[in-house]
Amino acid sequence: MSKKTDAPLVVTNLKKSFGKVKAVRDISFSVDAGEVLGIVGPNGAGKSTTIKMILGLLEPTSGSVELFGKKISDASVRTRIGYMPETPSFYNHLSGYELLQVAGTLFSLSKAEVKRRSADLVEMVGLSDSAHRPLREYSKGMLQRICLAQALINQPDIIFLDEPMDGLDPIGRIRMKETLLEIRSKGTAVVFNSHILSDVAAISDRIAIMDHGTLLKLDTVTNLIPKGKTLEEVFIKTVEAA
Amino acid sequence: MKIVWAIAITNYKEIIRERLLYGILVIAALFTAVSFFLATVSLDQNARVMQNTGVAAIHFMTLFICVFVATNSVHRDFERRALYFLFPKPISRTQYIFGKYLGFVLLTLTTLAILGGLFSVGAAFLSPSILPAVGVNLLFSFLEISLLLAVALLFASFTAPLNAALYTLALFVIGNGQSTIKNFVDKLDNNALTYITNGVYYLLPNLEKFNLREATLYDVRVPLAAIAWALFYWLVFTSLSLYLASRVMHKQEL
Repeated sequence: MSKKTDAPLVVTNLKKSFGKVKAVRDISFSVDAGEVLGIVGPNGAGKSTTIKMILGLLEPTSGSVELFGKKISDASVRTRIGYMPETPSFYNHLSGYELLQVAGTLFSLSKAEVKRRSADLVEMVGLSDSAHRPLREYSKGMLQRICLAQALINQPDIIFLDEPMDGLDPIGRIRMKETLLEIRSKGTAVVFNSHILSDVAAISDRIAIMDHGTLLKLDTVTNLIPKGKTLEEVFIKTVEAA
Repeated sequence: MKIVWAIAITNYKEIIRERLLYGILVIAALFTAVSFFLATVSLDQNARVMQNTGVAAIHFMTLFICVFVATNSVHRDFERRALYFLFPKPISRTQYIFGKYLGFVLLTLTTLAILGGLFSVGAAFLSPSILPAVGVNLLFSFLEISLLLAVALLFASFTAPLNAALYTLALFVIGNGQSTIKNFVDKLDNNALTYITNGVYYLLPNLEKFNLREATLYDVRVPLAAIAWALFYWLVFTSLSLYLASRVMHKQEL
């Protein structure tokens, strides 16, 4: 794979072992500006581990990750990324607005800017009426949405979403899909993983299929899914053949 | 500094909005109030008993509350994935440790202000002459507790919250009895034991430097040099504990 130093994300020969367990085995891929990459795979495939290594939450056993040509340890890179973890709960006693205020302050945004962006974001994720309530009173879907909002407070160039559809009801899923498409329309690159394959096929430009820490397939949606087939069928065939 | 302060305030808000804390503070205030009762049943020593038991109750209660809250708070940050919220942002793990610590310092000041304030109101009616000594004692209580909170933060960065709290309280007990243990071992005339005790004496925090309870009780003048040395000791030990906590945090995989 040729290295694109200006690409938002370049992952090269990434490996991660936990003792004798090889969680991620030598994977390489890149993400272009404004591209949506969906990662699918069964439980334990290494999807979340890969995202955590990209974000510096886990140290790779070997291999490298570059975001905009720099390492994640460079704080300037982290001003350009957003992250929404799986099933967040964070600070239960803060309100939605307070969480966004903290997030904005951590990006050194001015108070006025944080206020303006917070108002826009809670509107975008449909939480305008409940942003003053403490997070402990939020449903799982509301937590997912406020968590997405905090990941967007810095207007990132690339955003990572770990299971953004997890636990959402059908309306919540539709809203999340619409929000992701809106993010993409603004030119932000999106990397996300999900078990809900129909959503992945609907949102992504390219899809990566992982199993047992290996990247089995990575291609555009049109190349990966033949006409008349679904991602479910391609996914099962790929994983069973591996 | 803006980032450290943002983490500190978030940490402080999370702790102070916990309803359980208010229940504990009420119990702590009742324990402190016992000093007024003890003073009334003592013979001609009302002021001294009130000062001694009151200050000691405030000190122990604040210590217990802050150590258990602090160690649980760090654990919660791991458990609730607050660290996933923080670390992908442009903050360092050292800033996180200092922010958490500053939040705990604010909690200590709040607890001391509530318990010390309530006690001072009672003392102002019953024996106002003890108030200056109470103030000095509370200041040194703050130093001792804030040093122990840095140690608690270090323990909490790599072990379970209950363990971290118990290790910190064990250090509190050892740190307040170091001279007694050292004097006892010196009298035994055993070289091996003396070496071990000396090692422990210099390695673990000597918290007796912050204990002015006896001195203020009997109006013994504390030399300025001793106060300066206590402040320097606090600064070195607290900084070292926070530095080690941040090193541990840098190595933590989430």
